[in-house]
Amino acid sequence: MAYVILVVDDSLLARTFMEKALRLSGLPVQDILFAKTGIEALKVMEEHWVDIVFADINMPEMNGIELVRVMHESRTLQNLPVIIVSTERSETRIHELEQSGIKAYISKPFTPEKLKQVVENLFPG
Amino acid sequence: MADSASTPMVSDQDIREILQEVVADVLEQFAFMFVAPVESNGIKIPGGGMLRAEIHFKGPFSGWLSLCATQPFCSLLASNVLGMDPEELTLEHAHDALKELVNVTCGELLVAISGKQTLFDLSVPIMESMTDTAFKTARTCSNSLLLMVDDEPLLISAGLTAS
Repeated sequence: MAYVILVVDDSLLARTFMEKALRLSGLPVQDILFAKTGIEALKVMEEHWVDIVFADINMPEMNGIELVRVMHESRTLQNLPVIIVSTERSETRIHELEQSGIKAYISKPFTPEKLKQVVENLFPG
Repeated sequence: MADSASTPMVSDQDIREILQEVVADVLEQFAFMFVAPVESNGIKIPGGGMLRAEIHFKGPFSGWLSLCATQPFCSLLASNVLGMDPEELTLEHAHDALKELVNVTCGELLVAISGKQTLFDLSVPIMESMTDTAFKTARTCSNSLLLMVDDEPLLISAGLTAS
């Protein structure tokens, strides 16, 4: 199975880095879509099939935590796996995020191998 | 670096030492760039102004962290982070690189000061231009630390207050 991946981050550098890391990871990637805010991400998900969402936390307009909450409240989006990618270091905050419904958390900076490991854990076999 | 109503138990000297260590570690891991000691007070600041990225945080204590750097530093940072030639990158990549650096550095700084259990809310980093004069003034402030990174100056400033 090849994944359609949505990358949500207001930083062009972060989106570029994520694209490179995904291409290098060895994961089967069909397409990579991008959004700069949570609101843009919701519009992308209305218009395109997405298998996995990678989202930053700190973004203008709608941050990653709000995006997860909105997706969780949507019948069509609630089962779409969200992986938060952030500089957040607090174990308390990471635990809160995991309780809010995210599937995994990755700390920046990260390697392509880490991306692959996290996705393979979500979709074993 | 702390204001008079400052964070408990962390002196200005401690903050500067923590910052130097954190910035060095982050640059090495994030961008394979290495910090060198500042040899003298006669640092030549290239003309053309500087860029400043700032982030704010709130938690058991609050404050801000800023990084001031030259455009060439930001371009090199972006190039190293992405593993791409500078010619392939835009100004937006370079500016975002400095913002990302202040974001990552702030996260590591707060863990170094408060540990991994403490919650902080971080703002979205902002970016602004800084004149050479403003840079020279900021450099003389007691809350700033100047480092050389790949022969480019990097000025780190921080302010902490009790919440």
